[in-house]
Amino acid sequence: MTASTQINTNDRVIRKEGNLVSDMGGEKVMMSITSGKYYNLGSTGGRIWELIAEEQTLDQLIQVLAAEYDIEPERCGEQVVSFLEHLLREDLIDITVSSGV
Amino acid sequence: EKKEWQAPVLEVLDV
Repeated sequence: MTASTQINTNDRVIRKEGNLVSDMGGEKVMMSITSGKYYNLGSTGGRIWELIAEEQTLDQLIQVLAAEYDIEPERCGEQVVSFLEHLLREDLIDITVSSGV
Repeated sequence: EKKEWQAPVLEVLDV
């Protein structure tokens, strides 16, 4: 998937290897070994990063987050997609587009 | 028991 494509609910997401992650005061801070760039994922972003250690669909991800956090699934989905698109632009995740079957 | 939601944001840090 390219960074300009819209992520759909059945698309599968997994994080890429090669990042050093550390917890700092409840937030996750990360360094990409490949690019040398540093990132702050924040607390919610850090939880998403944990969840995508194993491949799962966007829909599954939203369901888990909506169960853990005080957020409506629809609004959660919009914000998670925006976050994942940024991760994709930074080449930090892989997304497998669903075949639609 | 649900945690407070904060919109996830990826902050690129300038070292």
